[in-house]
Amino acid sequence: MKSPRQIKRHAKKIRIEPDAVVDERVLTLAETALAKSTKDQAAVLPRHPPIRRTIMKSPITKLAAAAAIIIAVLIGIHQIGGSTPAFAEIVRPFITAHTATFKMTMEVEGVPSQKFDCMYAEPARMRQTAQDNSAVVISDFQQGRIVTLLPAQKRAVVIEMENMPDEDHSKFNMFREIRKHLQEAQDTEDESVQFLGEKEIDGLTVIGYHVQKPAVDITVWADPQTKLPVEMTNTSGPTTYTMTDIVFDVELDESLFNLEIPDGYTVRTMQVDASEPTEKDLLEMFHIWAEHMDGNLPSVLDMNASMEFVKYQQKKMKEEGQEPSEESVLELQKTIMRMGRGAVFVQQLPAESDWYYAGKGIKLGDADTAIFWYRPEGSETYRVIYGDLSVKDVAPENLPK
Amino acid sequence: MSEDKHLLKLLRHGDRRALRRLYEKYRTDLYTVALSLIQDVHTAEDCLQDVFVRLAEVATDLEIRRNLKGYLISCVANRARDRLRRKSKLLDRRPEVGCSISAPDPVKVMIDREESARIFNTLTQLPYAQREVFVLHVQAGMKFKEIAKLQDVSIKTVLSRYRYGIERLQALLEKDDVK
Repeated sequence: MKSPRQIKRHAKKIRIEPDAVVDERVLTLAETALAKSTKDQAAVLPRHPPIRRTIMKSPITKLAAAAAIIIAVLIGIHQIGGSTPAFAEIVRPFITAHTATFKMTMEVEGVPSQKFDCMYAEPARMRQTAQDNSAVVISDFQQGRIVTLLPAQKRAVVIEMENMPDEDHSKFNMFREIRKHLQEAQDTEDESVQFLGEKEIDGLTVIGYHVQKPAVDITVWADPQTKLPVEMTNTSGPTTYTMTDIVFDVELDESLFNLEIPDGYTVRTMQVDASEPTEKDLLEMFHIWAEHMDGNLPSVLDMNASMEFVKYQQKKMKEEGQEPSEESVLELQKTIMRMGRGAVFVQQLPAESDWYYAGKGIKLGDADTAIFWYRPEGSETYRVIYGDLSVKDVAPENLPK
Repeated sequence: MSEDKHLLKLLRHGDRRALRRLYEKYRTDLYTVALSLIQDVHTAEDCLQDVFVRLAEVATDLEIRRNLKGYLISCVANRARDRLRRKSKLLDRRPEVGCSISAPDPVKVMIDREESARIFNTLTQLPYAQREVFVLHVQAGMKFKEIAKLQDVSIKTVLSRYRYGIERLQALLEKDDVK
């Protein structure tokens, strides 16, 4: 009994019956609850059902009732029952808050979770403190600057973002990014928002909504009484961020977002290109990747790719008997950031671009194999990238099968 | 109209026979899932009770958009997770070996096939998230997409958890064979 198929077959046969005493207890309690709930419901129904039935027989009344139901459905599309707060009510604080504080847990599959105390302040500032106080990250995307302080080592890393877009900083700031997605979901009120029902968090009954669209996967659980969010989860590739202890519009001292480096710190500065990524960045990403991965191209083109890259580099260092030096870690960080622009280019391609990646197992230099293709907006042909990183415009009917 | 829809309609009007029929229909599935997830008889019984009492409480307002069984299984999984979180605080990625909750009573848990029983007993050594995916997909027949929604994670994460879960089960069972 070793293969997954055999394990599944045997697992499916597991059938466990509850005890008869349990059956009796559950049914008694459930029947009592049913009797109470239907009695409560009866109390709010009209007291003269025969008259109601007579009225409902009239075709005009039926039409009016049908219209009323349609209107009720339209205006209460996300409401379950009369007292459940709608999605818009729950996400409103996220959209309108000037400041917020929250705890954040970052989980990546296969890596120990990391916890941060976070603060957000308009227009685009964040302060994240690791809960073990090992690092503080202060960012201000209007100024295009991220400062990481490592108090124990008295070291600071400053990232200067060049060519920042003038207005939309949302993609750089987690809180603003979430806000933007929630705002869009609220505006469109389409099927991307689903009511999840209720569950308990630390003894509190909460209700949930799930927003799912391409590249967006957010769940909000809120207290139906206060209508305030209790927990919010944002999943991006293999990474899940969970926000708890969320408080909006707290008074936060300006000094918390001070980007000055404290005295006595050793500072390293890196420049990062924050302009809109292009196809050129994707080509550069493939090139850098192959350079560091023994000529191979990535297996996948999603967030898992960076994990694959880091693990491979760690393995290489181990095999070569190298201890990762501070210098090599910084170099690796810079390399990943450069490649990140290519990854963002792909991430931002709309679904209509019909992009496809077929580079798994292909070596850099293979001129005959198409590794990536997509259709630029408004174009009738596809841009096809080959293993030697040449690019051609190809008609849809000539795409690789 | 499917039987479940018909029963739900009756339930909304307070029909006790409909409640009993639904309980009869799903009690084993729900209890199996609860016990596989929690591995504690009393807590699993409490989950089953919570879900049916809640179903009865909200019967008049209940609108099930998908299948009733899937809805009830999701409720059991949510309850199981919450109860386990409260009880053991072990909802991180560590296996729950050494967890203080009691093991199922072998007299009550009658699994008549030895191999199935071994799998059931090994489930406790999987990290909770992987165990949940395995139980919900294999035992309860839920789709990965539905599990992703329930766990608030992407479908890729669910697929990884499933793969790691199966691989770990394989390894644990093989180790057991060697003994």
